[in-house]
Amino acid sequence: MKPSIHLSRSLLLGALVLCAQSAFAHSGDAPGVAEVKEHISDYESEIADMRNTTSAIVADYDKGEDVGKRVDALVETWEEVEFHEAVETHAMVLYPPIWTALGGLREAVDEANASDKVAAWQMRLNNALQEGVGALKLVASQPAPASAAHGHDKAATSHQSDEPTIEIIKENLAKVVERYRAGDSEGASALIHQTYMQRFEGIEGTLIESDADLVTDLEKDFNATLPLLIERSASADKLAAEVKSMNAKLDRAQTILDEAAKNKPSVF
Amino acid sequence: MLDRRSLLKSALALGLVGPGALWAADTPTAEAESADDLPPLAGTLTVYLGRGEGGLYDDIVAAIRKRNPDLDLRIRRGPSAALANTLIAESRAGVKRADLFWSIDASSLGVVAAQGKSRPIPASIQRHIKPAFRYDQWAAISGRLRTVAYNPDRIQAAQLPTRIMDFAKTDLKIGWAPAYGAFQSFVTAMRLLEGEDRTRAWLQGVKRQAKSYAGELGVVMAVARGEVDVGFANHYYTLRLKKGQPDANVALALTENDAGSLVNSSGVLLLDDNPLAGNFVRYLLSREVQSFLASQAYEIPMAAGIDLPDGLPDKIHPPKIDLTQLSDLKPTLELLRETRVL
Repeated sequence: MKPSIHLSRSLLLGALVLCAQSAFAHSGDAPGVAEVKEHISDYESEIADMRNTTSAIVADYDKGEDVGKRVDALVETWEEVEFHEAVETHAMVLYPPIWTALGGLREAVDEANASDKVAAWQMRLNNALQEGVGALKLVASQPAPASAAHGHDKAATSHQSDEPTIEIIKENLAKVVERYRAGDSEGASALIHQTYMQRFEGIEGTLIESDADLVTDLEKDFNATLPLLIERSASADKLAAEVKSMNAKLDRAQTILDEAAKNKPSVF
Repeated sequence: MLDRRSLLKSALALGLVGPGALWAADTPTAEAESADDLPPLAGTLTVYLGRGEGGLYDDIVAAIRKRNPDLDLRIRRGPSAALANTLIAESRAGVKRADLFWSIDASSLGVVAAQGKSRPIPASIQRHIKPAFRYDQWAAISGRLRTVAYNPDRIQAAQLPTRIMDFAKTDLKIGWAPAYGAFQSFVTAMRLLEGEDRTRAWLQGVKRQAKSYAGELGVVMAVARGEVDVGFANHYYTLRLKKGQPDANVALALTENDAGSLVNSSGVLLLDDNPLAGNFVRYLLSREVQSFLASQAYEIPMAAGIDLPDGLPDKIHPPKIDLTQLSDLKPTLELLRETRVL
């Protein structure tokens, strides 16, 4: 299911933050290299439409029209196009700049007499889109690594901060609720899975020795409770309540990790 | 049969053929080096590091940094398969950012090596790796073993099948975690070793007596509670549980020469001839780092002369399989869905 909401500026900015930390804005079956190759012309067509739409929006802004809602609609288009997920999956580095440019354009058109600024964001958006499709052409020119078929590792990479893992897990779970509340069930489910595979599994070893029940409890939350709530279309409040319950368990996990860190032997 | 250590080495020598040929058998083996004997690391080194035993690898990275203040170590973290894709894409674009790829997943290493993006592991590094684990294009760092966890109050080791395929013919209550990556690699190994038809029949047979769990720790704990008689899981879950709960009713058994005793390995690819990268690998294979991995993560050390984690079975008989083929998960997932195991 794709998002069907109108993104307000704050939501858009929230999305930008999300994109900076997570590669899972979308979660449908990620296109493989063969599909990318097959759809290159579709992507080119999609970005040509987006560029034309942007040109029209900018022209009307210059005439003094209120075009904020049309930029919101452009963001929705970006969310819907096939090109979006292809870039997200195969050209992660070029994915955030597209969001950044859309966010900049959205803010600029709310200002009066900001034609230069609006034009600058238009150019950044056009360039980001063009670079994205260029990267996909490159991807399409190479053989598909076998592991690309494995959806578990679909997420692209980013440099990570030194933020404690438990904090990242809690932030991701908050985003799960946000996305679910916004209507993006698939995105929420994917982020749950990503968080479990890439974050929780990395710390469970230490936890097992101190509180194995806590680990199996959280495993169940990640792999059964939350996904089933989403699958059964439970209310967002119910999902949020479950996440709140998980956060208490994660606090307990943090205490265990802190204690273990005090007793951990040094490597050298 | 050999003892635990020597068999681990020699049996795996028969089985684990990496992306290239095994290293020359006449390369002498040397004990693991002490970090005190390694040259200090200085300069800039970029490492792509697959996420997995995240905290422990972070500890190792931090310790190497602390020990080598003149080292500008740039780490990019991400899922191993995604990093492999990135490395290939960067290379195709004429960009080279990483000197080294460190992954918990041998199949991801194989994907990159198969594209000709790696450098052979020099003999000066190979000689410190147990002969059985020497590969031409990548250096094995540590391993994980598939096991059968069983409840000694409900069944004796001698009553357990020694072939994984025979579990489908028993009336044992079995725990498994089909959604788990390690389980799916195990089924992939079975599919490669036994064929699709036999694997399908096995899945259908075991499913009749199986209970599914969210993760493999859950499987092992269910065994300990007596909820099931046996469970399929990686070795370290049982070892960790026993560390925290020494009286837990669970023990480890292994099957012989089949997917039930698969050993998967983490490892490192050298992506250029930067001597700093090679010396970094020597730190990973140092006595101190290998002992840390064995004692803290219960990983099977790949450097010579390092003790295995306590609690492993005395004898293991891993299968002959190319670990890089374990990345071929799609047919496995189709089989798991077809049999409604997933």
